[in-house]
Amino acid sequence: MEDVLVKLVDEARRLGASYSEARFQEVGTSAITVENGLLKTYESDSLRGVGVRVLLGGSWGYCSSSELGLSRLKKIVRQAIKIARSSKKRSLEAKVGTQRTSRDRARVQTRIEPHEVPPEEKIRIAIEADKAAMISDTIKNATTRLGTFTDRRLFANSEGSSIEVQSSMAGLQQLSVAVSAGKMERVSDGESKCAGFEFIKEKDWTKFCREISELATKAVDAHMPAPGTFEVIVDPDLIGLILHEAFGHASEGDLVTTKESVLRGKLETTLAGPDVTICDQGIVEGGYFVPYDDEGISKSQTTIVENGILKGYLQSRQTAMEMHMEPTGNARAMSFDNHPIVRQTNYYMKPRDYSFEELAEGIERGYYIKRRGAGGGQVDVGGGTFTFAVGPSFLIEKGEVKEMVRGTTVSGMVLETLQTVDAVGKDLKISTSAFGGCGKGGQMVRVGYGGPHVRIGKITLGGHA
Amino acid sequence: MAQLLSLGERAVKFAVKLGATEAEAYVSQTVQNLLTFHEKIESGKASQLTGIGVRAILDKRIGFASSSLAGSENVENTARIAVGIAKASQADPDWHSLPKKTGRTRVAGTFDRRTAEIETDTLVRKAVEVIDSVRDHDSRLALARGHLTTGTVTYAIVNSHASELSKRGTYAAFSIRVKAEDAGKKGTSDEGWQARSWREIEFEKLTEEASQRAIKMLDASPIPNTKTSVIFASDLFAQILNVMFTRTINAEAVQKGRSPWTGKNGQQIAREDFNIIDDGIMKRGFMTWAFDDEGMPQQQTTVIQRGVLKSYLYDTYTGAKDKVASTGNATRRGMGMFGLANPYTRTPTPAPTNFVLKPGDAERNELIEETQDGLYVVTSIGEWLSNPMSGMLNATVTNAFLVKNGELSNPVKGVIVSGNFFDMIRHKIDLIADDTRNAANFYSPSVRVREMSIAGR
Repeated sequence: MEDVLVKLVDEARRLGASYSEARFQEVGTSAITVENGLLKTYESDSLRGVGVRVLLGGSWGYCSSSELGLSRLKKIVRQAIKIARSSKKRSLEAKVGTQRTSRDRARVQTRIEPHEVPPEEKIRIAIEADKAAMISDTIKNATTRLGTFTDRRLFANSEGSSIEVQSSMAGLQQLSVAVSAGKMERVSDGESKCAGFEFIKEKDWTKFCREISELATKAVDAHMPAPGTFEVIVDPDLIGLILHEAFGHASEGDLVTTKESVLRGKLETTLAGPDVTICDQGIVEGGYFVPYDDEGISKSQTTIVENGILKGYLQSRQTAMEMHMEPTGNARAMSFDNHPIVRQTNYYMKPRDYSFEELAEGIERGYYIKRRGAGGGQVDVGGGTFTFAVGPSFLIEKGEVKEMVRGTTVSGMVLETLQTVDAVGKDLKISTSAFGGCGKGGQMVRVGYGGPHVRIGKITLGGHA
Repeated sequence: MAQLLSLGERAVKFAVKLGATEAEAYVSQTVQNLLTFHEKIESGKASQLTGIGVRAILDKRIGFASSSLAGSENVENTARIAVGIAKASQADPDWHSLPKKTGRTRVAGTFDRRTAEIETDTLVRKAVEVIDSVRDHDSRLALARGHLTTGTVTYAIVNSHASELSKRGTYAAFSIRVKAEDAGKKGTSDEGWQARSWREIEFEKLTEEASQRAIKMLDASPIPNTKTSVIFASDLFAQILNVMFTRTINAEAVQKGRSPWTGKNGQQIAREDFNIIDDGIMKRGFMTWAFDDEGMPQQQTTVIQRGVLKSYLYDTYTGAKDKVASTGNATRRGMGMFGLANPYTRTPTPAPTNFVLKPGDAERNELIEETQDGLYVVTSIGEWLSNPMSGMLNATVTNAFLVKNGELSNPVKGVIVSGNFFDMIRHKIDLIADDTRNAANFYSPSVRVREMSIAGR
């Protein structure tokens, strides 16, 4: 396939493209769903295709196909050229500069390839985990999903780069629904890792699923928090999500060059508390595996905020040229049928030296908010408002963690919330998921995020009076 | 279409040859054009994807496998994997059979030739018009983001019992984000439209509305905590209906114990003037098709009539379990293991087609004019994070206006609107307008709701 990609890149050049790249992708997925002790679905998917991107007269054209014959693929090159020509009116006048050529192969290390595990074994593990979650009559529904995938990507461009990246992942996700006194509550959580099937085999999922059901059982009887603005401690799972929504998106170069982001023009200004340092890193323990982006640029560590001061943005080749900065390896595509756009990889806050007790000390009345059981968020990068869901959390009174409250929605302002971070914990946890990711422009990509426990001075909780 | 049907036939024959007692193939082809722009044209894209999903059943044991297709290369292999999974599976005691008798209903407005023939140059011309119209409206404005999409989808369904079927449809979508900047202040607004044909989209009107609102939002700020009447704009309430009903009104959720509507059939769950139908055959409806994703004819199903819950939504499997007929709601849309999935990669489950809250008798302006104190919410983020099981609704407001003595006043953003949805439809909705708009396949008028919690500064 490498040879075919090189031919397509050459064909694009022959037809007038100043820069071109071709990508082949092959993905194998299996997803098993078990509900209330019974196998519901076993879905196995295989996806293959090629995408070609050309730059011609400062305009981009992209075309993709799941048909892989050479004549068909040459046709998609011609179509990409035609699309670029059609876009000359109001051309972006895009430039990609000249970047270092890479010839490399990188892959997630696996001991047991997911596709070599017999379906019977995957089904057995999922059923056992699901049955363990049915702890009492209070649990009206237990749904367990076990998923694995392998994503192999080949890349070639007109600068002579040729890169192969293979990532593999496995994970399990549990949803438990509890009903008590006419009230219903759902709690879900999962764990995934860039690894082979050994990650599934070596963990006690029955314990994991039982804990989710226990949490749902407690949460259904808990009260809603009071609505309003409070001081909070945020757990490592949640601080990652907050950074991702509150800061990550607004630091994406394409949203900066189009003037959409509230972070535009804010380099070297103080936007967070002095203990806050945030980076985006392609390969990090617990995160997703991004050694190269989908423009063939190697992804290392990018510092976005250092000691509270905005230091950089996430860049593609094109946004880097526009801002006279360097590409950071953040141009990512969901799949072969999408063009790369600026995305986060593993976005996290670096730890400092507070213990949990020290963070709680001095909080008169606030909350310890946790992601487990919920998750997901969204940001309006222009208006500067962000929001996310939290799972069952805890009231804090006079520095002490008190009773549980039900999960709710939390929101804040991009330019204000991190300014109120006044203490950062000494722990660090980064995680990713096989079951979801981050959406932008109609594309989902897998991301990782995390950080330590963090104290935030002002955040708004939606609740019920 | 003939080609897709013949691929499906091959898969079904092969699965039966390998020992399947029943088999079904679902073959789809998607052709899509997408243009991304801001003040300049960012990127044009054309993509084509063909894929097949095969269900193979061996005496109540069900297997499923799917694959993208390059020619007919993977057809037999996909059928083989599906049969292999069926052999490894445990029997499903509730399995009845694949549909024995498929069929179609007569529908209109699902395929538009002009939309199918649109290429990038048309999208570019439209984008340039939109960019210029935002600039011409006010020099403080700029187009921060725009998407134009057109596409054609073709589906074929073949099963070992019934006659084969195929269908073809088009769609078009437009979305923009307009940004205003003035003396350090910023405002943004979003508008968009999704339809079956290009010509249904009112580009000028939507661009004008987004432009006007972005300017107004320059002065937006949060308000203090309060409890007040909230008017939800039509397309926002349509999205709330999606969040609150999609995962719970289907018979599967009810049968599996993950729906708050379990045991509520025939009961008063909403106000007398709250009426919902699932209309699978509405003219030009976003999810209108002659037949659903397992080949059963689509229909109109009354879901809530005068506030009384009348029916859940069924496919063949869940219908057999409750001993009722399928309501033609089998769908393969929805989230896969990772994000929004291609339909051919999913097995069918029941879900809404065109889910319609019927209009009331108030005019839209009356909702505002008859409000002494309230908040008119036009757009929000995170409403999809609300909890359809507990009914807890939370939406973080991005564009809203205070209502004072029947008139719109100060712009508002950054507050959370909360309430319990079950309580809202039973007791708190007090006005329903007649200005229906859709958010994808959900249709709603604007509504006013009393006593919502506002969490602010």
